[in-house]
Amino acid sequence: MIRLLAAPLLFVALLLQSIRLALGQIWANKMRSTLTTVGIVIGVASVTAVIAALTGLKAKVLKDFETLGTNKIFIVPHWPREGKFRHFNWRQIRFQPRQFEGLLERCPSIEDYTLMTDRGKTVHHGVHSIDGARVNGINPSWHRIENRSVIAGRPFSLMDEEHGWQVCLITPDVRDELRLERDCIGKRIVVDRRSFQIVGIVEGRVKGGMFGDMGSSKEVFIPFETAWRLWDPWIYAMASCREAAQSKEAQAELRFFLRQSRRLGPGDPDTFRLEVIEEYLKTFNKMAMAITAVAGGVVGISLLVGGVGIMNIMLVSVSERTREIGLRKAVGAKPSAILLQFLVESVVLCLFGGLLGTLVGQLMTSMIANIPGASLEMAYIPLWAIGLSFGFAGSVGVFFGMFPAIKAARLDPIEALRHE
Amino acid sequence: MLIQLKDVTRVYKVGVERIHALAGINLEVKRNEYVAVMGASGSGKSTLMNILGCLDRCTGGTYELNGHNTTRLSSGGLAHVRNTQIGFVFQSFELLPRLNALKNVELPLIYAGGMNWLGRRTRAKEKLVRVGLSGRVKHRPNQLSGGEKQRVAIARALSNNPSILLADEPTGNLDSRTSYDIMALFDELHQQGQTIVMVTHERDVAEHAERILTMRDGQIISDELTGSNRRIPTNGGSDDE
Repeated sequence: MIRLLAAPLLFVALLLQSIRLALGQIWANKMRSTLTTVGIVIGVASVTAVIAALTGLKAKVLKDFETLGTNKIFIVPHWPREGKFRHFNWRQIRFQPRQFEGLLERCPSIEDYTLMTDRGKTVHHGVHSIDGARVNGINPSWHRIENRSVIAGRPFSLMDEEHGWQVCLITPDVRDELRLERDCIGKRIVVDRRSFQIVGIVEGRVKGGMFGDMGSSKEVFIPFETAWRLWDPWIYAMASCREAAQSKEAQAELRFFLRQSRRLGPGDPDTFRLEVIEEYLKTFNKMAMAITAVAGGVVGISLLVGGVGIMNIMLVSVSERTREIGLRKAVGAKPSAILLQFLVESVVLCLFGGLLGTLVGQLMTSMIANIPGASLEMAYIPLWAIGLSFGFAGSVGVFFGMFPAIKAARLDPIEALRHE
Repeated sequence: MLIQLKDVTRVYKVGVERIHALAGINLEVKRNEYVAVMGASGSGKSTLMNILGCLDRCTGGTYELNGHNTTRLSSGGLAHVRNTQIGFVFQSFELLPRLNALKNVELPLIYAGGMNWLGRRTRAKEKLVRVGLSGRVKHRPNQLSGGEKQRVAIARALSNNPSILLADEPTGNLDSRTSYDIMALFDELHQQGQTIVMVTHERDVAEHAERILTMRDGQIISDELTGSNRRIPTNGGSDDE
């Protein structure tokens, strides 16, 4: 029993002693130790900074998505990979407006939906024109779902919808670009060689968000029915569920409804796809992971280089202290005890590098967070990244300290004591 | 019998040449004996010390320490024997410069295990008092005189209460006055029952021992009891007894 307890106790005692010795050794060679760990410091600093930047980016993206609304569901046509639909042409796959009739009654979790078309077209007013303006066909419910209201004039009426009148809403950017006066209600603009009357101004996209900036702010909206009649276009729908938490139910209801309205048999695959903002988040997360992996690879190389530095200095340390090793062996240190001592020293050295690296990484993170316009103001080093860095640094210490430590452990005590 | 060497040889290979550092040593040392080993350099006395101290293995013959055959022990096993059975005193003290006297004395106890921090401290202090250094506990080696350093080394050698104290030219780096003090300490330890084997090339130092072995060419050429033997010979282990 005592023998069983003695072994781990001895190990702990040796470990503590080794740590104390290692700290003493590092303290005695402050300059050398610091220089040696530069590789580790750079590696750890860059990995923590990259992770901090990505974390900040993610937080920012999440926040933007929140303002966009996570309760939106996009319904888009989709070619199944297999089955008979694979060979259908786009006319057979695309949505028909009548397929959405009765959607709100059949899908209680859906608050509202709008059919949409989205095309890039040239818009004229007199000599001024915009190439590639976004021309969207929308239902009036679009304003509620997208949370963008009409700031001047009026929204589309049921009459506009029913008759497919050529009326439009424009954003302030379109008005300015076409050099229309501020009160341009009632003026006509030419969209794709057809004349449309402006009935209102709709507020522009939320600016400043990562995704707001990506979309064009030059948008022209026309009644969905008008777009449908004029261009016979590819259409999709945007629905909002009553609460973000109901998203899953809403999707199930939509799927059931659409399968029926599109007359899909029990074994047929879906010919449409439901896209939720969360899905985009997942995609973003995957992307972030990929970036982390690449950064991790680069950092791995720098840690490797740092590790070689550690190995070098440990070999120096072993040869400098050959006599000490000899003496320790003479008074009864087993090879394993010597191995432990040098391994601990190398690990402590690396962890010291990890500590410095984390501090430098924190410094870099604060700098990154203050770059104006980089959308990284939320960057911070998550705890797991610090753990990871120390884990890596420690592993480098074990891996590259092993060879010098084995060398020390194998020294012949007589030779070692004779060493000058 | 504490130490029993039978036909012990130690052969070094230098290139194709074989050097017989020890050429068949038979030796018995009893508990409580005080033995000095003399001989010119190259006579094999250091090799004998290394074998006795389990720092080295013999290439032939057997070495029994305390009734245990050490010939086939692993390096870890030999380390354990050194730790528990043997205390070394070196010519150049071999104190670790960054540790104070107390920590140096504690060193073998750390590798022995089975003792907590307080136990080690108490034991180390006790040994420092024993060698007359109660006032130098916190001093580092560079703050100590040569004689004091050797006393610390002796305290360290005694810390695990070893069966044998092995001293390799313990006074080699000391002036005669200090040497005398150290030898007096050895005498005292011997009188308290410590077995001592000491290598020296100075006759007057060797005279402190009860028994003097003289070596030449890897063999023991003489094994005599000294006149200054203050004890009834508990038997010198030599053939003539």
